[in-house]
Amino acid sequence: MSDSTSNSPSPRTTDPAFETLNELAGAIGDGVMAVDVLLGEPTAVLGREHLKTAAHWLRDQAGFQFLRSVTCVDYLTADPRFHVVYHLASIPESILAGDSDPTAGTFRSIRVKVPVPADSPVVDSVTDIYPTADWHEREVWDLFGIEFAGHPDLRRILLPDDFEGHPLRKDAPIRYETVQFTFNYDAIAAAKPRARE
Amino acid sequence: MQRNNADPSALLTPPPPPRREVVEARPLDEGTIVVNVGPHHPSTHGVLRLIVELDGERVVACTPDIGYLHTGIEKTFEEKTYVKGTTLAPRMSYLSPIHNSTCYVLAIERLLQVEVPERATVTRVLLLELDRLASHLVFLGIHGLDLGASSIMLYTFREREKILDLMEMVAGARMFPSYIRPGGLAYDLPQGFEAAVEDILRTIEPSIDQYEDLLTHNPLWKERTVGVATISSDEAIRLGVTGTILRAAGVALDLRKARPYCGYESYDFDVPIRTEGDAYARYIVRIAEMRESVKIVRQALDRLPAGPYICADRKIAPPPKHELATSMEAVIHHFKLWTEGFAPPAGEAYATVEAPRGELGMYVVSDGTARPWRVHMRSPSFVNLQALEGMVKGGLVADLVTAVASLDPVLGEVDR
Repeated sequence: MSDSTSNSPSPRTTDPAFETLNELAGAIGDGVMAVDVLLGEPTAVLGREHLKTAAHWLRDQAGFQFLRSVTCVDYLTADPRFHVVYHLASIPESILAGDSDPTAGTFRSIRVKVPVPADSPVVDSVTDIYPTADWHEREVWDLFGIEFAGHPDLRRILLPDDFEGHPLRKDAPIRYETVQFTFNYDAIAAAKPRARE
Repeated sequence: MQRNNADPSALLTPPPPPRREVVEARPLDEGTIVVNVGPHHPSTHGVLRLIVELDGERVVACTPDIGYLHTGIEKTFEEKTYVKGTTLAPRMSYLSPIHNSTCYVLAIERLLQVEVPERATVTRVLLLELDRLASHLVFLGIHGLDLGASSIMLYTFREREKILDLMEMVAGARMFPSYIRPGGLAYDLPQGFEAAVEDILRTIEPSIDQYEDLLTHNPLWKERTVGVATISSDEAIRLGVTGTILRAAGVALDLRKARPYCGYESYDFDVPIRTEGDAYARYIVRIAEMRESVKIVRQALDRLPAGPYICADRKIAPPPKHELATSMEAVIHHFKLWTEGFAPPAGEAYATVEAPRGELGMYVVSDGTARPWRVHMRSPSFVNLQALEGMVKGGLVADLVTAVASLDPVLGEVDR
């Protein structure tokens, strides 16, 4: 492994991206609930009402112009149940200008996690700040049922339009299903294997 | 042509000769028409459906409809132990299996905090670059096929076959080697491996010259690709586009340099870029990248050290088969590993590699048990495909084929 990772809870304050997250905490106040370096990745946990403010700040003030991915994790028994996870990166000027030399500028990356409660799974969409979020957010809506307020076209993307439910939730049926010799759908649903608690 | 069927004599008179006139292209009176391209269409590289709105020959709108190959692979990961996942990861993008495996394994290794032996790391780099070569060879062949340059496919598949044969020699499988394992490799390299790689290296560079002879200055090829399906660097970054498409637009973002893994920082190679951002630039960048890959393979082969191919930690790596006959300890480790698997400490890791199509990321969340709580794959094709609409809007419908081919999507990776 080339990049050194640290398992200790004390964050590496030398990481420039970690500095950025501390500045973010200063800029939007108590919206940032926690800042840490998790296995080499600077991570901030953010209140969902501050997501758009933080995204604007990160893109315009801190240079994190590149949204790598948006995804979600269902912790089922935890409260809040879902975490919407954003991976962001800052591409330095030298790379933008066509120089790939890593000594000329540092590629920084951060992770932002937004807890979302199960009873109102809604997060603000960041499609107006990062257009690439369009399909990512549609995928999260499709597979997890997280609604993105302000998304221009929040439709299912991978599953058929008439699909019911959101399969990557932990309470969606999993594994193979035994053949049911019945049309009683309650009995079929009861026999479906469920996620482990 | 009007005929009066009621009058039988009219049937006997020969019809008037057709009037020959060139019909001017004009916009349809009734507005636009909507055409489905795919899901079963040879130029969509799989099962991609494009809902294309056409105004005559012009593309007004193009909405990709994906999901036909959705297999729920991320859900399947949650029910497999970590080691079983290594056979699942390559199935996502079937043209670059080694990249998928390596990315998944890097995430697990970060969770486990395990050191990988030098021999395994160098072998990984070697196979990663051969994998990139094989993937770009398919791109080139299919791209040519799509644009009517059919012969190029026969040549590129000739070279790809050699690389697949090497994969078979190394791992026993051509398409899905599942050779990269947490902590190192599945088993050691076979005898005659170096000679086989050298054999590939001997033929690959003259072959790349041959492809370039066929295409690079070919006026028909340039006619179909220069200035077609362009994207600017700003737009590419806004849309999250990575890989050769971004590098063909002038941004030298290559994770092998920017965020090195597997010791890529110690290899000497360049990141080819172009600034035009069109299909031709992508072709040139990929050709140049193939030459760089050859350079890296050569360096990796030169430095391939002897030594262990997997880490010594018996909680992660299975014991060698010969020990099972003599050591009770080894039997216990073997049994525990293949029944229960290993359990990384709770945590989360996002590992990225520079796959042939762009940034491939694996976000693995562990809850401290032997199965991952969540595996998310940031597949480059999925994100890159978002750029398609902007590339083809306002262009000719024939350029749609060029645009899809130059994006080089793998639909298994798009739909997962």
